[in-house]
Amino acid sequence: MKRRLVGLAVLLGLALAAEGQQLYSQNCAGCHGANAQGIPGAFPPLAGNPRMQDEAYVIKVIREGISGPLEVGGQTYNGVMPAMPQVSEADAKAIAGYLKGLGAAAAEPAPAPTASAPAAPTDPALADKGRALFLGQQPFKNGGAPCMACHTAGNFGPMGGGSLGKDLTDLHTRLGAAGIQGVLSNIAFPVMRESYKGKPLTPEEITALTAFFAQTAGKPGNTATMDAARMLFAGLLGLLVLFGVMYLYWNNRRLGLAERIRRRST
Amino acid sequence: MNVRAHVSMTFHLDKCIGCHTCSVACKNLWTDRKGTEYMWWNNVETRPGTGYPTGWEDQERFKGGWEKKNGRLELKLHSRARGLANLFFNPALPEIDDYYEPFTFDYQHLFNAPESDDQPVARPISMITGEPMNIAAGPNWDDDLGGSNLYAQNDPNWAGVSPEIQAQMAEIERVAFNYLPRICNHCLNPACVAACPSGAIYKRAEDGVVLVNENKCKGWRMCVAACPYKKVYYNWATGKSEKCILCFPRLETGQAPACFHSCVGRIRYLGVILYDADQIATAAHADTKDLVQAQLNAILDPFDPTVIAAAKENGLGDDWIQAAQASPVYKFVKVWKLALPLHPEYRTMAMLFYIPPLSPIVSSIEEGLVRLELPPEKIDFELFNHLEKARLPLEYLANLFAAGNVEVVKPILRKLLAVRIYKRRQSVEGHMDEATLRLVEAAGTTPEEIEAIYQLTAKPTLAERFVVPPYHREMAVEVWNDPLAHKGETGVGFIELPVRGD
Repeated sequence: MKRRLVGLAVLLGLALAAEGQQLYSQNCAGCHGANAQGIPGAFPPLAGNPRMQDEAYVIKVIREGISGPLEVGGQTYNGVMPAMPQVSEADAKAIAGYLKGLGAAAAEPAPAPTASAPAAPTDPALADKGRALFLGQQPFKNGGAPCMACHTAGNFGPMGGGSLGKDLTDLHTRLGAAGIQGVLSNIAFPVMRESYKGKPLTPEEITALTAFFAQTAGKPGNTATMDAARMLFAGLLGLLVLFGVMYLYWNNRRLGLAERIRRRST
Repeated sequence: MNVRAHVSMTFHLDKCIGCHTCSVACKNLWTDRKGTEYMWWNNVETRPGTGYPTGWEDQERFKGGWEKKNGRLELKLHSRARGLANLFFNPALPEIDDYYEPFTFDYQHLFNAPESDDQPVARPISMITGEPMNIAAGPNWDDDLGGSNLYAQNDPNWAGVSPEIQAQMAEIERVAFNYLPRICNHCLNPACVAACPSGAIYKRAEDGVVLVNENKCKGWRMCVAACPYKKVYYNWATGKSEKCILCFPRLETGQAPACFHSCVGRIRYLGVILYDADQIATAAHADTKDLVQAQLNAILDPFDPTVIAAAKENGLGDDWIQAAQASPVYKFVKVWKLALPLHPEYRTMAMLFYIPPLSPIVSSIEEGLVRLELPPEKIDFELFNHLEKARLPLEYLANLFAAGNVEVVKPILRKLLAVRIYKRRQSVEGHMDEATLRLVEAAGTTPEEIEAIYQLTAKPTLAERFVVPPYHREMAVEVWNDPLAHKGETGVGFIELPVRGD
């Protein structure tokens, strides 16, 4: 009886750990990597991270998010992890258990993207496809909204891109290819998460967008002052033309009978 | 048959002396508020003339009333799409200069002026800007200027009148004019109601008074443009439209409207008319020459038992049917067939009927003596057969009251002349002769009818002129107020209670 109970408990523990791993890959692996190795400079590693031993802390971070400077393994991270209230307390606990189990077995960190160097050369055709997807000229296969609805990246001409979300020009510099792919394959940011619920991006689309971001990263962003000046100039010109046309009509407008009589009588 | 009641009106133009008492009574009662200075819910025009607002009958400019297009009635103002396009600027709207810039005088200056060599004067002040101004127009600016080459010449009702007669009318010896008092016609097919995008204008069910709901009005002003009589006005202070309310608070308390009550010439008659609502569509679609007759056909005989039964079925009480039977309007319009609606060609089916005026005989001055174009003996008899010799051309009157159909106006003028000739013979000469009786017969009337017309025209009592039906407000009031409390506050009670500190 006792052995049976112990066996059950062991099985339960294994089941929990397995569940924790599955939940991790669903909710966390996008940014922190399949093996919790993280992306240096963008997303801190979780394997071999001493903070993972504090289960309550991990649950809190998962459910409520975290932001601000953070030092892990001698490297400082300064990003934003969104709150994920959609992960239930129990699931968060399972994930925390899984992460605790990883212990100090640090995974091999992925090579850090060289922040200052220009992005690795990418296939221009792929980057063009990514740009088309970003602008919405080519729709996402699963019907997600084009990125430009909220974001801008690089130089899109006078009107620019969306200004609701973050300017993504230097996204590749900040996250690197692996980071972008992680973020896009498992979208965690609250607004984006709701927008793309049930409309995930396909791996090909993600690759194309990554290539596009790699292209924009090296180049200067939009030239806002120049664009504003151009708009102002065009607007003033249009205004002058409008006033000119109005003046022509105003002079030739038909007078009312009352006014005509008044003019005749004086 | 769908019988409804309408509190309707008749103006006897032969009795109007152009004193503007009606206008002043109305102004003092309703439009002496800020934003309404330029409004004259009741105004009196000199005809021929341009009226108020200037040239309001020119529907190519003001786009009022209905138009028959492909057999269907449509607002002349605009289609729905065009209405949307013109939502924020409607070129058909009259401007303040089409009315006039309202003014007052700086009377205080007469008391406060510093001592000087000259007598102080009260300068005219604009009631819109508050600045001193030069008065250039008024609501009756062309008053009595019948032959004026500025105003009378621009009257749109000259259409179809030969240029020689028009030239004659401008000669000082031949000038003739009559007065045309105008209020809201409370039409059966009102264009203002149809044009309102907010649904703020409605025709009251019980008596047909057309009203603007000031709470629903959004100030689009389409009613102002769509009313062919230009009798809806925009209050620039409240941003809402306003119009003649036929003094309904007075009607509901058994009094005639203020302009009716104050009328010096006693030209105004008010009474209930029963009409068939099912016939409105047919009557409004009738051919132009049949418009008047079609409208008269929709007015029902209140003595007809089937009409009475149908009226009761529609919830009309005995007292309203009795009021309809005593109605002077019904007598003038339907029994004696003397009254016509103003501009029936607008197809709004105006419920204010005018008895057209008689006019003097064309004359000229030769060697300082007046020479009539008819033999001076038995002038009336001659005029009876030569209505074209009347100074106001028949075509002109027909353009005003019968959509240009002279045959509608002629029998009315002949009957009016018959009444005059018969009564003159009777009271001046004291005996009747064969010729007069033959003339009476030729006018399609009888001595009995003439006597009745004479009584209601010349010697009616107040109760005969205004047959105001009982509104039973004291019972209706019970719904929201203590009738005794309400009795003491008619017209001055609070509809919306004031908020303390507001």
